[in-house]
Amino acid sequence: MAAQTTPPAAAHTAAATALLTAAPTRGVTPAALAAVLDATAPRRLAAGERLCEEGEPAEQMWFLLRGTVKVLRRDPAGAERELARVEAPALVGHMAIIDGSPRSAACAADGEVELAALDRRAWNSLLTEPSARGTALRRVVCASLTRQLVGANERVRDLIGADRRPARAAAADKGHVPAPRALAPSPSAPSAPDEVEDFEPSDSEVMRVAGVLNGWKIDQRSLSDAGKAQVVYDEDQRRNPRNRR
Amino acid sequence: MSDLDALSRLYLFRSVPRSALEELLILAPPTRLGAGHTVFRQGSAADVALLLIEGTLAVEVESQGQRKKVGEVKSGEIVGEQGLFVPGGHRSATVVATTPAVCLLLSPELMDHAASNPAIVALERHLLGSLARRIRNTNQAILGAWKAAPAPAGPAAATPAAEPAPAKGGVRQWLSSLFGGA
Repeated sequence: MAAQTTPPAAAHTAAATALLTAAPTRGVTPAALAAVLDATAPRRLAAGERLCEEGEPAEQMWFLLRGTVKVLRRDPAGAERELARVEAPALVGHMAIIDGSPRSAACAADGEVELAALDRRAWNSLLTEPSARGTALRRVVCASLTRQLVGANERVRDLIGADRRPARAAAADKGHVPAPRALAPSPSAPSAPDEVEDFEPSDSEVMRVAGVLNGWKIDQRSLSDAGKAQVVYDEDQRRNPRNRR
Repeated sequence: MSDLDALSRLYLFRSVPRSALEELLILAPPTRLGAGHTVFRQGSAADVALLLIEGTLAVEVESQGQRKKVGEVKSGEIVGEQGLFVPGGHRSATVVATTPAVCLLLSPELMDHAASNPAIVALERHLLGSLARRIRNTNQAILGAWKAAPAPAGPAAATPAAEPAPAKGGVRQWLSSLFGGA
C-alpha cells in the first residue's frame, strides 16, 4: 500500500485541505484525509496523456490534485469526443472501483495534471479499516456520491417543473426553462400549468443531468454541438445500432 | 424478537459482532413509529439519517400542493443519508411510515462518536454501495428512456443536426415518474 515516491506530508495536508474546502465533508479532518493520501502513489500526466480507457477494468481511483482531466467517449462511428472536464480538486474514477464496473469513459490530461492514485488493494484495505483514515475515505467518497445524486435530483426537478421555485427562476433567467410558476396555489403567484405541459427537456438538459450523475462538469461548448450531446446516450446504440430506430 | 436480534439479521450487519451492535443500540436507542408518522419533511434541514429495522416507509414528493409516492423504504435500508456527510442540505422528499416501524436515527454526532465501531464502518460501506447503485440505475434508466423515446422521423434522424435535437417526451415522462414531478 505504500506510495512509491511519497511527497512530503505537508503536501498531502495541503491537498487534503483543498479537497475538503471544495467539498466539505462532515466528520473528516484534513489530517485524516492526508493519511489517506499517504496510501496513494503520485502520478503526473503530461498534456494529452491518458489516465484510463473506456471499458477497461477499474484498478484505481484518483484524487485529482492539480490540473484538468478531459472525459472522452467514443461515438457510434468510433470517433472519440470530449464529453466533459473535471477540474481539481476532485475525485476521479471512484464509481468503477466501488462496484467493479468497467470504466464508463476514458480520461486524458488537459495540460499538466497531478494526481494521487489509490489502487484497489489500498482501497479494499481502507474500506474496512476502523481508523480515522478509513472513515475519511468512506465519507469523502460517500459525500461525493451524495452530491452527485442531490445535484441530479435538483436538476431533474428544474427540468420537470416539480419544485424549487428559486432554482427554476434562476434557470429561466438563463433560458433553460419556461417562465417560472407557483408550485402551490398562491394569490401572489398563480399557477400556469399550460406552460409546464408544453415543456420538454432538450437533449442538452438531459445530458446535464447525466453529467451531474457521473460527477462530470459538462463542457458548455459541447452542448451547442448535437453530435457531442448525443455521445452520452450512445452506449447501447454502439452495441446495436438498430436499437434507436 | 429483540431489537438486537432484529438488527443482527440485517444484511448490512452480517459480519458485525453482536457486541458492536449492542453498543450501537446503547448509543442510538431504537425509535418506534406509528403508521402515518411523518419522519422527514421535504424542504426541512437534512440533519440525521434513518436506518429502518422493521416496517415500511413511503417516500413522497410534494408538488403543486399534492404528494406523490415515488419510492418505498424497507427494513435494512437507510434513508436521508445526505445529512450524514454533506453539511447544509435539505430534504428532497417527505418520508412517512406506512406501517408501525422501528428505526435507528443516525446523527453526524453519533457517526463521529462511534466512528470506529464495526457497525458504523459497515453502515458507511453499505452506503457507498447503495449510492453507487442508485447512480448507475438512474444513468441506465435515463439511457433506457432515451432509447424508448420516439426517434425523429425521416433521413435526418440518422445524422446529428446542427442544433440540439428535439426534446423527447419519453424522457420527461420517466423523469417525472422517478422524481415525482408534475
